[in-house]
This record gives sequence, structure tokens and C-alpha cells, in this order.
Amino acid sequence: MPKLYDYVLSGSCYKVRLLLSLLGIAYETQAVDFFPGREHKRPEFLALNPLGQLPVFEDAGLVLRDAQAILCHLANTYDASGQWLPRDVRFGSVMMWLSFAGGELMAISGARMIAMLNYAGDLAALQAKARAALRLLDDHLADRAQAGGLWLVGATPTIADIAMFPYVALSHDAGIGHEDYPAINLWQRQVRKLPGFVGMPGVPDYF
Amino acid sequence: MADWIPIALSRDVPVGITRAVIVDTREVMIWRGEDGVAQVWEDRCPHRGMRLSLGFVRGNALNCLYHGWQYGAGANCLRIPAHPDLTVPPTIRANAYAATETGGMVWMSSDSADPPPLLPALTPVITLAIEAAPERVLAALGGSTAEPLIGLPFAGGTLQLGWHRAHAAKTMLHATGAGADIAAATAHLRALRQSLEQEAAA
Repeated sequence: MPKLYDYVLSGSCYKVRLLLSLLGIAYETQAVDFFPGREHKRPEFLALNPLGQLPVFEDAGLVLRDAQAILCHLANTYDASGQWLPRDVRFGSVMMWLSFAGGELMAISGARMIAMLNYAGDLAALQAKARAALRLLDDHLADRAQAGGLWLVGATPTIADIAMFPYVALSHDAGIGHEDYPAINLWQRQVRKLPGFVGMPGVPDYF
Repeated sequence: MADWIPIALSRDVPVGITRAVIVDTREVMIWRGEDGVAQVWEDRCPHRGMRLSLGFVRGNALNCLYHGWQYGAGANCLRIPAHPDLTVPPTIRANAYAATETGGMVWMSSDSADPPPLLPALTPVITLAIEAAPERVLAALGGSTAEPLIGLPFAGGTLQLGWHRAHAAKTMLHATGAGADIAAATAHLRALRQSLEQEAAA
């Protein structure tokens, strides 16, 4: 059975849990004491992922790190419909949003660790970067809505939406509300309505 | 400040949704039940202070996410799940503002001393957050902070822009236009946002 090395408060682990749930895949978890235990920096975990980062996903002998790579693996392996990782003209756009989710949008994660777990860092600078990323997303979603689209890419939800959703929904933990982002407010409700949606602490199942 | 303030495009608050808005540093929320009426309340549950915008709409009621206290359109508490047999005293209520919708926008008033504005139906274009003081934004648009609406010439027509102050250095613009090319108007307003923010940062 596939195994997720998991920390319940991690937005990156939540990306994987959310897609596993949406696809109806049975899996087991192994809890990693990220905080305060810093288990992800211990030798046993570094043997799985030398970067010392969550999540890690084991599946049929594969050991994968990076939430975006794991989403691609899950869609590629378990989604026969091809909806979640389309192989047509939409492919490049989906990859673009995956990179953004693992890149610029992670400013929210950094700000959240400072605000929530008292990590060291420049909170104001990370919040400014997070706001820039959220504005870019809101502008894109507003354009999509004006063209009649509900999702980041194309006419169906894809792993682009799943990679983007967690840290957008968790931005409150980083001291950033959604007041400035009306299109994000509408989109995140569509994600919550997907059959098989699951929440996490800070992301209610209700909508 | 004008009595009635436009705080959102009606389009951005469909049935069943909550929307948080900051109005002159106050935390405000809008929700719309199945009856289609937009409600504008203080964003705070009177029970434990939870933001009601994080709650959820069922039918014509808003439910707080924290303990499920349920409020009806009249802002009175209908139900407290931990005390299912309790007839809730009418004194338990959310803090509601006067609200109306006109010109494709949701408007609120703290004292509703003046009658609400009455505008023709206008096509929603976009709401933009601009990191610049309302005085600066309105001056650049050729308007003034004394009026809640500005007419902005665009492509041979006029965009009607509602605005509200989020805080001293942030302006929310709610753009509408009759017959305007929505995508072109949106691009025009985003360019305006960029130049206003660059000036404000300089």
C-alpha cells in the first residue's frame, strides 16, 4: 500500500492527502514529528529525502519527494481519465502552476511557520511576497471567471488547482486574509465542493 | 465619509457564499442566503469573536464555524447546537449594518440616515485592491473622496467606479460599465493600479 510520510499541519502534505482523497486511493501514513521534534532532519528521514523536507511518498518501490512531483505521480498512475494531469495543450499551463505552487506561493508557508511556529525570519518580507503571489492568482482567476472558467486551467479541476489550494486556504495562519481577492474567494469554494474533498486543521470541510 | 459605501460587486457574492471585506479598518462580512438578499454584518460572532466570514451558509442562515451558532437574516441567533432545546433570547444577535444593492454593487451604511442610492443596472467589471491612499487614487481618477462613485471615461463610454477605504493606504475599487469590453476595461484598470502603486511607493 502507498505510504505518505506526513505531518498533519503541513500544507504540502495536505496537497498529497487531498489528491489521494479525491482519487479514492487507499494509503497509509507515517506521522513525522516535524515540530517540535525536527524528525525530518534526523538521519533516518534524511535517508529517505536528503533535502530533509516533507512530504515523502513511497509507492511500489518508488520513493518520491516534492509535493508537486507526487501529485504528478498520483495523477499519472491512478487517474485513468487523464483529467487531473491533461496530456494535451493544457499540460504546459498545469506545469506552470505547479512550479508557482512550489515556488512563489511558498512565501505563505514561510510566513506561516514564523507566525504559527515561531520560526526565525522576516515575516513582513514574506507576507509581501505572499501578497504578490495571491494577487497574481486572483488576477488569473478573475480573467478565467470573465471567460466563464471555474478552474486554473481548462474546463475541469486539475492538479494545478490541488497544488495551489492548500497554502491559499492556509494564508489566514500567515496573517493574510482574502479580503483583497474576490476571485480567489469564489474559486476556493469550488475546490471545497469537489466530491471527496477533505480539509485539515485550518481548512474546514464546510463551505 | 459618505453615508452609503459600495463594498463589493454583487457578482462576487453569489448565493451561499461569505465574503470578508475591510471597510475603513473595520472587519466586515457579506453573505447571501437562498432568498438572494445580501447581508452585511460585522465580521464577528457575538459568542466568541470568531470571524463569521469563515462560517458557512445553509438556506437563509449563517453558521459560525466555531460552535455552530446560527443566525438568520434578521441577525438574531436562531440556534445554539450545544443547547438544542433552548429558545434563544432575542438579545443574542450579530451586529448588522444597513445594506442594499444597486448599480451591480453591494452597499453598506453604519447609520443609514440618508436613503440608499438608486442606480441603473451596471455590468460588473472587476474589484481591485490598490495599495495607495484613497485621496491619491481619487485625485488621479479626477474624482474626490466626497463621492462614493466616479465616472471614468473609457473607450468612448464611461466606467462607473465605486470605491471604499480599506485603510489609510489601501483603496478598493469596484468597477462597472454598461456595454464596456470587460477584458479591455480590466486591463486598463490593472495598468492604472500599477501606476498608482508605483507612485505611492516612490
